Amino acid sequence: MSYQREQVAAEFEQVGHGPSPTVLFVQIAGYLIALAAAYLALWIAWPNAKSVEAARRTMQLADVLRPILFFGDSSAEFYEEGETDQRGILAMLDEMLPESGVGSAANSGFTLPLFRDMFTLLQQPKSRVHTAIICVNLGFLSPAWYMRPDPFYCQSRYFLKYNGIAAQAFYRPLVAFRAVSPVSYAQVDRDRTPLYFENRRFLTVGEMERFLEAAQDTPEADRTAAIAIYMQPCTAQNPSVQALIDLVRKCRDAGIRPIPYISPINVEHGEKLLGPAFREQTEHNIAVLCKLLADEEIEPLNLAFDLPHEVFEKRHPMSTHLTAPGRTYVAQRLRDAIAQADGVVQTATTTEAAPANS
Amino acid sequence: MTFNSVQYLVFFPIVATLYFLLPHRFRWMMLLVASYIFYMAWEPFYIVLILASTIIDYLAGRALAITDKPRRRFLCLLCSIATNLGLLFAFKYFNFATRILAELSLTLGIDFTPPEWRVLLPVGISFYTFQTLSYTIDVYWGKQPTERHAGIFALYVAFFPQLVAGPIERPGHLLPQFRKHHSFDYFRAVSGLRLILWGLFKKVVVADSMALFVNPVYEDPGNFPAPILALATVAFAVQIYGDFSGYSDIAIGSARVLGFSLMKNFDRPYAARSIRDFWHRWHISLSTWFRDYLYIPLGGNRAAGLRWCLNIFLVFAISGVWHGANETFVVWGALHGLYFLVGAALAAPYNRFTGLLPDVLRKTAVPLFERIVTFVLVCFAWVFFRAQSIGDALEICTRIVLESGSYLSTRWIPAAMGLVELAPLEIAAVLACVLVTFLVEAFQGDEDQSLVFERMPLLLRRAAYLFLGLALLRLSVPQEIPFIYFQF
Repeated sequence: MSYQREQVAAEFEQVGHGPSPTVLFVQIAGYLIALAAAYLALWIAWPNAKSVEAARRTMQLADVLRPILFFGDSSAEFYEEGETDQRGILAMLDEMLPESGVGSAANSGFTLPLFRDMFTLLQQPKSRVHTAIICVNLGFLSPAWYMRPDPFYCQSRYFLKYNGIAAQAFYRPLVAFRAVSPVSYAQVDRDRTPLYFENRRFLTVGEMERFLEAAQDTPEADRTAAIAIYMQPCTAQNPSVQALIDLVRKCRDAGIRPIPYISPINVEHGEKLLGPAFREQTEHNIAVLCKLLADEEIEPLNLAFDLPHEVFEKRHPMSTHLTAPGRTYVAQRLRDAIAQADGVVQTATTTEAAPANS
Repeated sequence: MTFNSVQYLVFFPIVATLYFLLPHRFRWMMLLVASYIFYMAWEPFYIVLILASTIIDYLAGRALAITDKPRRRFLCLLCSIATNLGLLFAFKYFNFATRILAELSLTLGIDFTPPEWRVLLPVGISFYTFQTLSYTIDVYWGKQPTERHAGIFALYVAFFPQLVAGPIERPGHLLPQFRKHHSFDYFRAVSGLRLILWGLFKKVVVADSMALFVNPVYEDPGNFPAPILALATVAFAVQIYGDFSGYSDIAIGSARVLGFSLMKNFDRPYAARSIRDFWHRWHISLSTWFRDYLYIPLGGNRAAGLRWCLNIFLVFAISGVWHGANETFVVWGALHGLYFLVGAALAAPYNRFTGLLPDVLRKTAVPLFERIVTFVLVCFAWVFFRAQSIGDALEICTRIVLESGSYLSTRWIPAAMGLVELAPLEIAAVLACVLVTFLVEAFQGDEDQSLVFERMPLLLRRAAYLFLGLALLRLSVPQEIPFIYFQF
C-alpha cells in the first residue's frame, strides 16, 4: 500500500525554508516572462492550426472595401449538387450589381449576434460600405439555432472582439483553461432550455440535439427539427432579435443603410409536417419582427412565403437552401430593394415573378 | 470548477495563502468553505446531496460509538449504506434500471413504460459516496474511532482536491491529517506544484489531443476503416490514462502544497505484466476499496474454487457498474473479471513453461511479451468502456480483427490525420509529448514524478519547465474537454 502512515509522518517532518520571498518572486516573474516571450516567438514562427486560422480568415478586410456588404448564412452560397447554375445568391447579386459589387460577410453557421459583432469591421477607416444586406433566417429566432455549440462561430466572435496579437496568440490556451468558452451556450444551459409546440413544453434544446443525432433523416427527425426551428414563439427579448435591432441601429448611426430581408421558408412542407400551425406561428414571429423593426423605421423585405416547395433543397426541405430558380428570385428581389433604396424607379418587368405558381 | 481552468488557477493560490495565514484552529473551516465553493461552482443545488451524506454518516458514526449492541450497530451501518447507495442509485442508476426493466418487459410481451427522471448526474457522487461509506464501515468494524468533530468530518467528505474524482481516501489516512498543524514548507510546495504542472501536461496536452482523434471515431465507428478504429482504441488507452492520472496528479499535488498526503492512484499501469498486476497499478484507490470492502468481506482468498471465481467476477462486474449506468461498463468490468480468472487458471502452467526458458529470454523477451499481451487485453476491454453501445463495441472489435487486409494499405493515414484538425507538425509534437510522458514515468519507477525533476541538473530542470509550459500553451486543445471520470 502506498499510504503508510510512516511515510506521511516522514514527509511532514521534512521542513524546508527555501529562498526569500523577493528571490522567489523574481524567479517566478522571470519564468513567466521567458515563457510568454518563447511562446509568442513560437506562435509567430509556427501559426495555429486550420481550425483557429479559419476564424481569423473570415475577418479579412477585403470585403469591406466594397459598397454593399452581405451578412448571410449558408443559404448565401448554397447550390445543390448537379445544378448547372452553381452561383449562390451572393454571386448572383454581385453579377447583377457590377458597378458597386457585393462583399461577403456570409458563411455557414453565421447568425445575427455574429453579424452584430462583425459590425466592427465596418468601422475600419478603409471601409467603403454604404449598404448592409442582413439575412434574417426565421430559424435564427429559435434557441435550437442560436444556442448551437458552434466553435467556429465563437472563434469568429472572439477574433472580432479582441484583434490584438496577444489575444489571438493566446486563444488556444485561454479556451483550454476555460477563460474563454469555445461554445456560445454550455451543454447544461441547452439541457435546461425548453422548446415549445402548441403552447406546451416539447423537448429541451439538449434533448432535441440528442434526438436528431440518433434519428437522422427520419420523418420524425424532420418534424422535430421543424418544430424546434420554426415553431418557437418570438419575443422582443429574443437574443437574435436584439442583435438585429442593435445591428440596424449601429448601421444607421454609422450612415450605413440596413436592408434586412426574411429568407424564404418552405411553407408547403412545413404545413405538411405540422399543419396550419406552421404558418400561424411563422406569421406571428414575422409580425413581431416587423413591429420591432418598424419602431426603428425600417421595413424588412419579407420573402418568407414567396417560394414553392420545388425550389428548396431536396435533401433538407425545411432548410432555407434554394435551387437556382429560388436563388435567382431572392437575388433579384434584393437588387430591386437596393435600387428602391437608391431611389431608382423600377419597372414591372425588373423582377421576374416568383417561381411559385407562375 | 475544474483543475484545468483559470478559476482554479486563481482559487487555489487564494485558498493556499489563506490556509497558511490562518491560525490552525480556523483552518478546517476555511478548507470546508473552500471545498463547498469548489463544488458549488459546478451545480449549487447538488451540495445538498453532499450535506445529506455528511449528516447521515456523521450521525451513524456517533450512534455506533455509543452502542455496543450488535443489532443496533448493524442497523446504524445499514442506515448509512442504504442512504448513500440510495442516493447513488436515484441519481445515477434509476433511469438505467428502469430502461433494463422496460426492455425485459418488452421481451416478455408486457406493456410497461417506465417513468423517466430527468436529472443531471451530480459530479463526483460515486467518489464521495464510497469515501464516506468507508468511514462508516471502518467505524462499524472498530478499525476507526468515531469522528466527534462534525466540521472535520464534513471536510473529510468534501475535501476539494479529491472531492470529484478521487483518490478515494480512507478515514484512517485522511482524518488525522486535518488535525495536524501544517507549516508552510517550501520544498513540499514546490514538489506539489511540480506534480500539478505534470498533471496539467498529461490532461491538457496528452489526453485532450488524443480526444480530438478518439471522439469522432467512437461517435460514428461505422464510417472508419479498421486501422483507424485500432489506432483510436490505442489513443483512447493513452487518453484515459493521461486524463485520469493527470487529474490524480493535480489532486495529490494540490493537497501536498497544503501539507496533506493523498494516496497514490496510478503506478505506470501500462507496464503491467498481467491483469492482476494492472489492477495493482490502475485506479489504486478504487481497486483497494473494492478489495477491502467487498472482496474480503465476501471471503477473500479464503474462499476457494467456484465461490472464489464467483466473488472475483462479482467484484469486477460491480466495479464496472460503479463506472457508469450503461451495459458497456458492465461488460468492461466482466471482461476484466474473466481475464483475471483465466490468468489465475493459467498461471501455474505458464510459470512452469517460462521456467524452462533460458535466463536471457526470461529476463528480456518474457516481460516484454507479458506487457504486450496485457496491454492488448486492456485495450480490448477499453473498446467496451468507450463505445456508446454494446453493438458499437462489437462492431469495432469485429472489424479490427476481421478487416486485416486494410492494415496493408496506407490510404487511411491522410483520413486519420484529417480527423484531428491539427497541422502535421502539431501531430508530431503531440506524439512527442506522449512519448515524453511515458519515458518520464518509466524513469520515475514507482517514485513520485516530482522527483524526476528534482534529480535533474538545474539548467535541464529549467528547460523542462519551459518545455512543459510551452506545450501547455501551444498544444492545448481549443475545446472544453471534460475529465472522463467526472461522469462517474
